[in-house]
Amino acid sequence: MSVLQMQRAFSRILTDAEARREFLADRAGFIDRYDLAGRERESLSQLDEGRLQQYARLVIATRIDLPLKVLPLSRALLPQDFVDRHGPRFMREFPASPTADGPLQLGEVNRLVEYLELLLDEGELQGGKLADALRYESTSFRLSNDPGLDAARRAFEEQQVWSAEQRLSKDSRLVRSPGSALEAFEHGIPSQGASSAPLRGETAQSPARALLLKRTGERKVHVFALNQAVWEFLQLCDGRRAIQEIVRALGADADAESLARCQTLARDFVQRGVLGVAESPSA
Amino acid sequence: MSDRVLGVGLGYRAELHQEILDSAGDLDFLEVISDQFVSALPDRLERLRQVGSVYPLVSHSLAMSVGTAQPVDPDYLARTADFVQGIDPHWFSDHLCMTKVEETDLHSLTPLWFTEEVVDSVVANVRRIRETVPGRPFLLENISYYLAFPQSTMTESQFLTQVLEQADCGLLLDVNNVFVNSRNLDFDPYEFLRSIPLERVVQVHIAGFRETADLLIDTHDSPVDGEVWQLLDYVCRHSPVLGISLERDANLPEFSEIREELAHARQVMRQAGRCS
Repeated sequence: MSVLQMQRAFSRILTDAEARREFLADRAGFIDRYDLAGRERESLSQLDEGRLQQYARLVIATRIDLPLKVLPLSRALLPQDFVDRHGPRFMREFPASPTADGPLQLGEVNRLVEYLELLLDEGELQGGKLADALRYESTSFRLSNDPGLDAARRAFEEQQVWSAEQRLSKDSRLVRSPGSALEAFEHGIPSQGASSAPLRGETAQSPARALLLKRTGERKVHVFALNQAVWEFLQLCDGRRAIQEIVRALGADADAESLARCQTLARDFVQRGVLGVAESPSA
Repeated sequence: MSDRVLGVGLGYRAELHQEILDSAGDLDFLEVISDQFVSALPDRLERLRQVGSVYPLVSHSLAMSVGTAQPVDPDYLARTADFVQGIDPHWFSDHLCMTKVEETDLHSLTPLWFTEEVVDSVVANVRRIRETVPGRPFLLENISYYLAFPQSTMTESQFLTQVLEQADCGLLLDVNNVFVNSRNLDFDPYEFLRSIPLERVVQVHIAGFRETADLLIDTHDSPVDGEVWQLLDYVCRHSPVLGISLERDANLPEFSEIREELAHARQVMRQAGRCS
């Protein structure tokens, strides 16, 4: 079993910069923490320092590179020295513990996104386009890969098979699909594949609001640019408000014309799989 | 093991899905990374079924960590076994290395200490894997590595030979890794090839590397190097290889460039009399 102890010591030296410093400063003292046989001690104590440092850097770079493969727009906006400047802290504060369950990549993507958001909050990374790209890509990734969201979306879509038969009334309570997300971007929608053109008068660099939508059976996450009114309408579709309450919250009179316009909009989004009706069949 | 020659294949990458579907004349099989599909959502599995209906598949895993001196993570192994049984590949494989210990996932193919004790623990793990996935050939792949453990009691080729023979399993020989290691660790790649049991080669990987100031790094983001093509030729002439697959993971080129590399591999295989 002491080979396993040797492997544990080596893994620690590779992934923890502080442990590596301690090891290089006092190899025998560090090795004493592990129950190793004589030749195992000798092997670790004779590791080449230059190669060890090189390999430790490669381990960090590889770990960061894996989740960045699904965040290509964000990756392109990271500084060249990201791994050297911020990699050791990532390894320390977000230890590379084995993923317990779920898609194997999901945990690592979530960890790196959390770290990048932390660096943006702290001002260690410049926000703007990077913040937009990160939010866009991490949201798209979660919509496509998170098993919890996937199960909720499927349950939602099954329920709406029933709801679609129902006529929308002023008392219908609208709710957004778990497969959808509303996101605001300071510098335009990062995707090149937005399904709708930017609104008139906006440029690609203008603030933009978007609906991201993943539907069952479709590979892509659809991206729709939204105007202010539709954005506010969708935000109010939280499963608690009836249509007439949404109309009032939007600042309009809940007269027949406003209600009809709102119902038409709601019906369109129900048909697109964005919205559903919150009532249960027995309600 | 069936001795059916699969021919020339490509590592499946989602970004290349449509080009792969359109390349039936250029591609004979696909290598699928099991880790990208284990626990994947149904949409992604559907895409795998699509390509699986066109091409024979082989399964390749990244993180069984057969070299960790304890039994392979039973949860990971069970999920991999489910995947392998679900896609019915010609064989499945993983790397002769360590990727994790209980508290740490290295996310890197990390070298082993070349000793008898480690041979024993690898062989025990290969047996566990084969008991969990019976009736399906399992291959081990040689890795690229950048740091050698002092106090090893054997060379890498001796270690590889002992593992393959004691575990009685096939070899997925990555010739790019052989070349990268030969340059980084200063040995003759042909001497290495002559000292391992080439008769156990089932599949060969080819890929590109990146050259830094003091190391070659196995990056899979560039074309296959001329010296690697020569090593491939040697292996094809001296082994019963059944399939060659190209790994391209980053800096993806136009698909026509990938087709050219596949055609080159087919030519090497054909000239060695390994395929028609």
